[in-house]
Amino acid sequence: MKIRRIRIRAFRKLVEPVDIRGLGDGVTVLSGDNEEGKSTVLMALRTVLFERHRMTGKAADSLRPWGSDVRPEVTLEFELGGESYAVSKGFCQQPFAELRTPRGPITGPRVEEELGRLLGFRPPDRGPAGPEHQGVFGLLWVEQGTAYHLQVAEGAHQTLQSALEAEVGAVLGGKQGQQLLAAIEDLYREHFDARGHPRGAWKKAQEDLRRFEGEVRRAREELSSYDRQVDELSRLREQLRRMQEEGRLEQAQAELARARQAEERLHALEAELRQAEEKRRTAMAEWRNASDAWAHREEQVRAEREASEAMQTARQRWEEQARRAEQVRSAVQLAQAALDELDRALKEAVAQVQRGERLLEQARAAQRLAELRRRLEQAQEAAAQQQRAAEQAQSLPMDKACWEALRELERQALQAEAALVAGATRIELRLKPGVTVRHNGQEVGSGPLVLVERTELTIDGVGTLVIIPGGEDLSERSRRAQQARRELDSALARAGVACVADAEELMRRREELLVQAQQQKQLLGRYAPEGLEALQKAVAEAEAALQGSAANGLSVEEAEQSLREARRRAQQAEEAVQKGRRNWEQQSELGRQEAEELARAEARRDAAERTWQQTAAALKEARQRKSDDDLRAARELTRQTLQQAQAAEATAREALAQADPEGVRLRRQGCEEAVRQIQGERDATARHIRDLEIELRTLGQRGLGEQVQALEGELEQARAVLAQKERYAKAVSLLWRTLKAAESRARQAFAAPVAQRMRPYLDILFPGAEVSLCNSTLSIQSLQRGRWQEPFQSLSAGTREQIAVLCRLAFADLLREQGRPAAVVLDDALVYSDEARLQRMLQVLRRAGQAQQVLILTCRERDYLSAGFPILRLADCRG
Amino acid sequence: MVGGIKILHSADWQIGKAFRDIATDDGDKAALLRAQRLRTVGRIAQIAAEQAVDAVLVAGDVFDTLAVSDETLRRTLEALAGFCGPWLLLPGNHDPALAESPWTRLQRMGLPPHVHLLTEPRPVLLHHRLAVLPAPLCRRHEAVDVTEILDAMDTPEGAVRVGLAHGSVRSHLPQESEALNPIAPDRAERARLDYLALGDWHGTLQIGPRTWYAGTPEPDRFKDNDAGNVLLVSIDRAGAPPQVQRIPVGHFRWHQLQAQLHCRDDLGALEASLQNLGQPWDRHLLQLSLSGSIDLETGQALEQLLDQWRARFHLLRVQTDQLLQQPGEAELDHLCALGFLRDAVGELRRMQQDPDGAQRQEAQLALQILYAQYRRLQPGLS
Repeated sequence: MKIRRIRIRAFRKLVEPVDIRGLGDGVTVLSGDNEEGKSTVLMALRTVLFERHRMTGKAADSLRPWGSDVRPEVTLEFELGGESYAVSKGFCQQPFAELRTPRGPITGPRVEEELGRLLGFRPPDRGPAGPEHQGVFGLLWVEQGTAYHLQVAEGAHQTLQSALEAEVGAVLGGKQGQQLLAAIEDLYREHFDARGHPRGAWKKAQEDLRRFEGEVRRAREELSSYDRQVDELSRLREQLRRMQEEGRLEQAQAELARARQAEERLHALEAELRQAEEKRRTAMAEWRNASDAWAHREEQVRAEREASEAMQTARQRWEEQARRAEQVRSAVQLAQAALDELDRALKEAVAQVQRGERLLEQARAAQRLAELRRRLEQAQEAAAQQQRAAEQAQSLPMDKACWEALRELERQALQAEAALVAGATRIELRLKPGVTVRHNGQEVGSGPLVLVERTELTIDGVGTLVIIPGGEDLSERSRRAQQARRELDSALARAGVACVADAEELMRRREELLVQAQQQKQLLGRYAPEGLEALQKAVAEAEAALQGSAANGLSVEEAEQSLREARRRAQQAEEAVQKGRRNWEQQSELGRQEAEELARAEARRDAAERTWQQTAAALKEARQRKSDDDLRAARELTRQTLQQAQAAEATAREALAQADPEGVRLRRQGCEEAVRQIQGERDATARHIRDLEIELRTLGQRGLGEQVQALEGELEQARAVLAQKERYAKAVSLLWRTLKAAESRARQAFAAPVAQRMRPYLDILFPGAEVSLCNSTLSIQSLQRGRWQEPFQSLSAGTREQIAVLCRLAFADLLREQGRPAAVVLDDALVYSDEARLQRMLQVLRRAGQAQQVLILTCRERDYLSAGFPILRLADCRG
Repeated sequence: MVGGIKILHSADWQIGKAFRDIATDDGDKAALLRAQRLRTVGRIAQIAAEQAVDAVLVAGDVFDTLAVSDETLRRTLEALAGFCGPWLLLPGNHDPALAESPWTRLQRMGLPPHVHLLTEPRPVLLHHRLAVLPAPLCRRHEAVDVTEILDAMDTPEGAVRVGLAHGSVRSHLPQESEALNPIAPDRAERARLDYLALGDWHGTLQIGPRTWYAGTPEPDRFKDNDAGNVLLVSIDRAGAPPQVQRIPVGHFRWHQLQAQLHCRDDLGALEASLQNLGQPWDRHLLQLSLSGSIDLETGQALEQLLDQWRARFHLLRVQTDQLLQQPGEAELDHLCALGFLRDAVGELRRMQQDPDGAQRQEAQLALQILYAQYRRLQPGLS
């Protein structure tokens, strides 16, 4: 495709008509300033080719110049396959479309269809045309600033793909090939899951097979068990038959009958022995009875004799005890007499003690009276002294309060005088020897003088010095000092003392007298705590108490000595009495014991007499019933009978032992056991046979053999189904893998033609570099320069736009070589390129322009001046 | 009263046989085969009645297994009802007279009086002129010749002695027959038999002048051994040679067929062979072994042909292990026009043609699948 002429009227920015003509085969530069409408030219190209002329709405309105309602019109003249075409479209109001072709004009909606067919794009059904509706031109016509975006849209991809397939031999199989691939993939997914394991019908066939295998196994086991049971039944029947034939049971039963007969004989012998034993036991009992009777008689005789002897002994013991009791009673009486004597001596000693105590009491009373009298005297003395001291104190008028008042007056007088002196004028006289000074006539020497009033100092030979002390209140102070002194003197006069010190002396004297009086009062309290009168009364009472008693004249010590002696004697008498009493008690106790012993001896004697009487009476009565001789004879007779019975028993026992009872019984038991065993075995076998027969009948009804065969048939079928599924699945898997591998290889070869056509351009721009294209999308993946492979997206914007332009030129070459429409339009596609790169790119464009129409829209005309491309100025195309 | 006798000799009914190998193809067809065996017994009863035979002798393997169901036993008795003369049934190795067996169970069920179960080696005299001397198998496998007992069996003077046994006549059967349950080849002579009716070999086979295998009346395997008959045996008198007549009774025909295929025309020849089996089609069971090499399109035509005949025959089993199917030039042109497919098809063909390749079969099938899918996506292609 070659663009020859573009006419635009009232299209967006291009309000005025524009007619661009003279577009050659190679590179043509269309220059214009910014905002002049270069990009609008590219948009008009797209619009006239790809938009439906009857489109409406915002997309259509946007084609009008701003604020205008004129109909936008675009006409494009182009060559295709050496033939000339012209398409004209008007939009919005009264839209029209006309395509002039070598075969005649076409108008209306068919224009778009025809253009689509000619140029290889699919116009939109409705709405504005997107990149996917522009065929390969969406890729080859680059708008300003978007060169480095190399998105191969669907429409362009199809065109390129068909071009590439024409080149490399339809390696991807086209639509049919991909459909076939998808169909095989569906088949593969039908048979394999994501992990490559069986699924769907194949998996179910595997499960069916496993299920049938299990069922067949179970059925076979059942059948096998059935067969074994049948064999077991045969064996048991044979066994039972043999048992019956051999007659083992009958033999054992006959043997048992014989053993039982032998045992019956044994029973007879045992009965005989039991009879003999019974007889012997009876004889033994009778002999024992007779023996016991005789022994009892002998016992009675012995008891009577012993009772008689015991009675004699008791009598003797009683008599001896009576004598001993009498002796003890005499001794008790003697001890009683001695004790009475000792009691009398004790009473006498006690009376002596009481007398001594009374004498001591009288001596102590006399002593206490003397003491009371002494205390009375001391008390009376203390009372007298107290009175004297009190009276002297009363005579002294200076008490403490009075003294303190005087002292206060003195302090005030001194204070007033001190204040006077403080306010006085002080002068210091330092006189030369020989100088005499007089004051009020008085001579004064060197030293200080305090002056409180007008003073005249007369200095001999000199004159008089009058000094008048200043100060406002000196006279007041002087008056107060005099007043205070007067009050003090007055008070001293009232107290009758000369000075405050005298007053203090008087006050101290009075205090001492008061202390003395107090001390005497305390002394009186100690001597007569209850008062003087009470003490006098006590003395009188003591005297009265002592009045009646005979004054023995003994001192207290003497009376105490006498009392101690009397008490010692009384103590001795007391001990003698106690000793005598113990002796009497011992004798009395002995007497009581002997009396008790005598009573016991008497009781024993009486008991022995009663016992003897009873035994003697019993013996007599027994002998009256049966004499001693009769008893002896009976004992002898029964002894002989017992001996005979014992001999008979021994004979019977021997006969039984000879018969071997243990052996006979064991034999019988053995025979019984044998019969039981044989019978049991036979019964068990018969029972087992019955059970087996029942079991087999039940199992037989089920037709296990047929079941097994049927199941085996199903198993075989499942196995065959699985084998078939597996065979098919494996073939599908092989097919899928083979196809995928082949497709992958084909894809690798797919982009090679593009790379091949980029090669010469790339050698100009980046000598030795390689560009890697994606096989499926044809997008640029990376640039390899030397050893470095750089992802396309990480290249600079300039490099990216340059490589993207190269790629487009390669696409255009590829398409053109296959006779497909391919003009390249670049709207300021190299804005990011530096000067050096731009020069190389101009070289690239020049090379491309040798075979390919390239229309360059730019605002940088000077960039292209050096390349020698024909330049059209948009401004020149107006009007 | 002594005179000629006429008996019907049959064997190996194997009632209850499940036809496992057929079930592999189709369970319903196996069930039909199973049911047919009872119908064929009914047909034998009908022939016996028509021929007015003195007895029907069944030489063992009446039942396929010891553990047949009660229902099978009852149906068998029912099938015998068509002939009210004596039926003499002998246990064989499939149904030996064990302690518990179809025989004991039939006894318990209550047999019709004309049915005799020969579970013991005791002669049975019928009509005073026919003595049947049975040698039943009382175990599945006998290492000794159980027919030896026939030598010592006495029968009334003038009665026709007919032996009845089940086993392999040594050195007279193909090698694949069982070596167990041996029978002496000269047993008929040794036991002074007028006729020895044998069972075990499933084809009708004469062993000696007086010794025959009747074979199974209803064929049951893909083997060309003259199965599907009963023998009508007439003996004029004791000592006279038996007159033996084959009477076909089998319903189903079992065939094996081999065919080589190399081009489309060979399909015509194959179809002609199938036609030759004759009507009615639904009685045929055919095992067809195909070999040769055909292209995928011929393969598809073959499949259509076989599908057609599958619907006709009772069973058509096809073995294609030896048949190589590979794309033809035209097919390849179609497929290889689709870019990468040329590469894939080439690789699959290499695998398929590699005589030692482990994936030969898979590769062939893969090619067929590919071609089938291709055709599915190209409805316009024929």
